[in-house]
Order: sequence, then C-alpha cells, then structure tokens
Amino acid sequence: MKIFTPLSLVCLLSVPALSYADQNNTVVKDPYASIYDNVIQHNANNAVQYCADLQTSLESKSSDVRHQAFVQLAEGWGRVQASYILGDYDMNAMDYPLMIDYFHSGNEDIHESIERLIGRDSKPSTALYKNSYKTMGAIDSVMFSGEWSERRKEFAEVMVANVCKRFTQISEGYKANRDAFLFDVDKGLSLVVNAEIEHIYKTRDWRIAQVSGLTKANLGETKPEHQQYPYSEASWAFIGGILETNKQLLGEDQQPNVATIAYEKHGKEGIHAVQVALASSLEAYKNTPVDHNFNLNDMIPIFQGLLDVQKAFYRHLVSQIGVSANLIDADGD
Amino acid sequence: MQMAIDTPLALFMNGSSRIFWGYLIVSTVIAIGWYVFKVGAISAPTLKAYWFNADSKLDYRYFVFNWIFKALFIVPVLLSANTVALWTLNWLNSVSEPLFLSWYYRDIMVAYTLSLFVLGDVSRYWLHRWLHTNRWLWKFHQVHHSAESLNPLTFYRLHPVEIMLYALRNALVAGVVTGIFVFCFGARLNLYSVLGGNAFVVILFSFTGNLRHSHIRLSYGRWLERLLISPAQHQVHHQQKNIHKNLGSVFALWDWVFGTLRLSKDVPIDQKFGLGCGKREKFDGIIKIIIQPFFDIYRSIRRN
Repeated sequence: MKIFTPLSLVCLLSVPALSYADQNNTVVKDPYASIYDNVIQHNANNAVQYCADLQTSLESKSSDVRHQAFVQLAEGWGRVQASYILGDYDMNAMDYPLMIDYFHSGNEDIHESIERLIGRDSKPSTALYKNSYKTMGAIDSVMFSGEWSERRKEFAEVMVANVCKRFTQISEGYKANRDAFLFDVDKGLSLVVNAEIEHIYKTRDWRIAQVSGLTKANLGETKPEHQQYPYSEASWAFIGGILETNKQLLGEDQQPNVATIAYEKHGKEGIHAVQVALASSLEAYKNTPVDHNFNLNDMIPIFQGLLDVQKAFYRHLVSQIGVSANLIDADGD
Repeated sequence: MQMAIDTPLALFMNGSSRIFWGYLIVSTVIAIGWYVFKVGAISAPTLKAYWFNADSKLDYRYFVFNWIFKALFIVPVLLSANTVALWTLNWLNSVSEPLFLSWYYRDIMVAYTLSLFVLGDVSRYWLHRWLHTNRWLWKFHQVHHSAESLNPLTFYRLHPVEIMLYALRNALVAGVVTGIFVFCFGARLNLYSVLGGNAFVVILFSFTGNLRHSHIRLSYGRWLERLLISPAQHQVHHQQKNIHKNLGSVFALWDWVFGTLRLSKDVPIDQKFGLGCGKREKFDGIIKIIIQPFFDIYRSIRRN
C-alpha cells in the first residue's frame, strides 16, 4: 500500500474540496409564491366566482345554463381540492372539503334523503338541517334528478349558499395564511405535493376504478351510478379539474412551480418521470370519448396514467427525502 | 439518496457524518478540558506519540481505503434505502389503501425522525452483537478491535464485509421506516435535522461521539450510563476483558435490557485496548486487514 504516501493522501483529501458543493442549494422563494398565488389562491378565487355564477343561474329558466354553471363549479372544486392545504394552517379549515362535498363519506343515500325532504312541506332551511344535505352531491341531486320546480330551486338556493360560504372561507383563509406558507416553504411544498398524491390516488381509485370496474373487488362491473355527480354527470369535469391543477403545479410550461423547485433541488430525473406520466394522463383524459359513461375500456388509459403518476411521485418523493444521508454514518462501531 | 461519500473530505464537511468538523472541534475542546483537569499539561511529545503511532497511521491510510471501497463497491452495487422504501411502499399499497392520516406536519416529522433514530440504533446494537457472537462474523469484526490506540478515525477501521453488513442494515431500516411513513402520511414527510444530521443523533451523540475512539475516559455517571453510551463505556468495550460488553451506539438502554451493559465506573482504568498480546500484528496493514479474516476462516474450517 505504498500508494498511500502522505502526499497522495493530501491530494486525495484536497482535490475533492474543490468539487464539494453545498448540496442544500438555496432555492429562491419565487416558485413558492407562484404556487401559492397562481395556483392555490387563484383556484380558490375562481371557485368563489363559479359558485356565485351558479347562484345566479338558479334564476334562469334554461336547464343548460344551470347545468353549465354546475359543471363549471364542479371543475373549479376539483382544482381547489387537488391542492387543498388550508387545513394544515387553520384547524377550522380541516373539514371545509367535507362541508362542500360528502362524496365517499358516510353510508347515507343523500339523493334518497333529499327526495324525501322535497316531498314534505317543511321550510328548506329547516329541512336541510344536516350539513351533508347542503353539499355538492346534494346540489347535483336536487338540480338534476327531477323536473325543475320552485321547491327544488328553494332547496338549491340553501345548498348553493352553504357551498359558496365555504368557498369564500377557503379563499379568505388562503389570503390570511400566505405568510405562514412562505415562512416555512419546505412544509408548504410537502403539503402541496401530499395533496397532489392524495387526490391523484382518490381520483384513480374512487372516481374511476370503483365506478368503471377496475378494482380487484369489482373487476368488470361498471357502475356509472356510483360516480361523484351521477345526475348532472359533472364528475368528469371534476376529474379534469384535479388534472389541471396538477398540470399547473408540475407542467413544464407553467413554471415557476413545483417542477422548478424539484429541478433546483434534486435535478430533472425524478420529477421528469412524474411530468411524463401526468402528460399521458391528460392526453388520455382528452382522448376519452364524450359518451364514455365510465365504460371500462375507455377508462383504462387514464387509470393507467394516474397509476403511473402516483408511482413516479413516490419514487421522486422517496429519493428526495434522503433518509440514509441523515443518519450519522451507516457504518458500525 | 445513497450514502453521502462524494469525497473523503466531504465526510469532514457533512453534518450527517461522524467526523464532521463541528463535532471534531467540540470533541477537541472537551478532550483538552478533560485532559488538563484529569492529567495535567499537554506536551508535544505526548501528542506526537498519540497521533503518529503505528495504529493512528494505519487508521489514516485505512480511512482513505474505506472511502474508495464504498465509492466503488457499496454505493453503486448494494441495495439502497430508496429501493427498500419503494418495495415496502408497493407491498403496502398492494395489500391496503394508502392511509393519508391527517396528523399535523410537525408531529409526523417528530415521529419520523424519532423512528429512524430509535430503530436505527437498536438495529446497530443487534448487528454489532451478532458480529461479536457469530464465530465467522467475529473474524471480520476483529479488524476493528485490533487497534491498540484509539482515535476518531478508528471508527472507519472496518473490514469490507462489515461495511457491507452495516450498509445493508441501514438500507433495510431506513427504507422500511420511510416506506411505512409514506404509506401512512403521503408526502408530508421531513426530517428534523441539526447541521444536516438527525436531530436526535446530533443532540444525544455527535458532540461526544468522536471521544468514543480516544483515550479520553469521559464518563456520564452511573445513572446516565444506563441510558446513553458514554465515551468511557465504548472504551471499556475496546478493552480485551470487556470486549463483548457495551455494544450500543447511542442508547445504553439496549445493553441494559439485553444484559450486555458494563458501567465505566465498575471497570478498572486499564487503557489496554485491542485483542491481546501478539494479535495486533495480524492486522497491521491494509492488505492484512482485508485478507486475514478470510485466512482465519479458512483455518477454522480446515481445523474442523
């Protein structure tokens, strides 16, 4: 081992010093502010506007106008939910999503309950005593499951007012917590990415696989009636909203966003795989026939795309956590 | 993320490394204070005799060899914590829906940091114990115990087989813990770190960690030495008579619970480290360190 002379030792130790660069690059805060202002806050503000539009449309005699307004709100709500992080900054806001949409929560058949209440003559504000009776699913039922009537309109007014109130609270809540988000950007980013992963999963499993028969439990059994908004068929717009937010957060052409931060911190490799899978999902979404009705074969491409997004996200996530580097040597004693 | 061993110097610059310059400075200050208080003035000949004896020089050379070996063989080839984390996550996803538990971000960070720390430490204890109790593995671990003079770089005097075992242990523990946490909490995962290292390890261990392999017999006292391994306790572990005691890294708790604890006050101050008379010569060069364990195993097999 003569090669290890003192001189070679010094060289070995010194030369790499020049190549040693700080791995924890300081990332400018712009992408974080952009994520907050241009995606999270922007989408919440839009939802407030779409909800107000729906309120106005209730006065319209045209079923198309009412339908279009609801579909637009469903899409806006999807955009908000895909990056919903307010609950981590304001405890009261944890349940706002549940107060807006009761999908996949509880066992009660909301449609059946609403139909029963419409049949009675109690005041709408009294009849709709439960929060779940004033959510998006209930609006879908009251507006589109039967012939439009004054009674249905009165019910819809109470329900939409409740949903609009929540959207306003979300929008105001985001305004109040902007500084908190930008104060701890690592936390903020992890919350945003977590919301993305959670809703990618729920969209794939709850909103597509369980409806079209792509889960192990219901393989081949398509049940369009189990979609999120079965009467208006606005579920597809909601799914589009989820995807659009992810595009806002990850799209190459939408930077500065999450991708910008990932590039700076961890290089392109991991996040690029997520971007590619997301682009495939968006492509599959756009190419799905209009009359798909959650037909199994039509849903396979988008199901697979979302599965790939989730897996790529996990791979990226695990690699960026950097577990082993923080253990104070993996060696022995 | 794989082990951060970009360069040998990186280990001195990285807060997640045992020999990070900050920890070395604190250890030096403690060592000087302890020495002046317990022994007296420090002389140049004493320092020279300590830092430039045969064992120390071998440790310096072996430290560089250790780095090259890891860079060439461990990092590119061996299983990484990332891979294990993804295996764990995929398996959990195949048997159940992701939980997306709505814990607070801060609580998740504490739980994740603590889990990595505690499970990492207990797994080190058991692997270390296995290296002492398994007759074949002991042949490899003897390399580390062959040093009769201890300095911070003695930590890196490990046979490549042992390096691989510790790397596998790290990959399994960190990977499984991370996979489970991602399954439970999604992306809301982060580590509480101080100077780049796990906060618990840095606070409880790192500032005195370099004194474990030294002649500074710093004790934590009878009570605390049942909870945390002191530098003095690890030095007791390097003494021939107590070589199978005090196998823990940070926590002495594992030694206490599993019956291998030896408090430093219960052991006479005997600075004779190593394997005993005539054994050091078997491991006094890099080639010997690499070859000797295999030779010993071959002889054992032939003898039986």
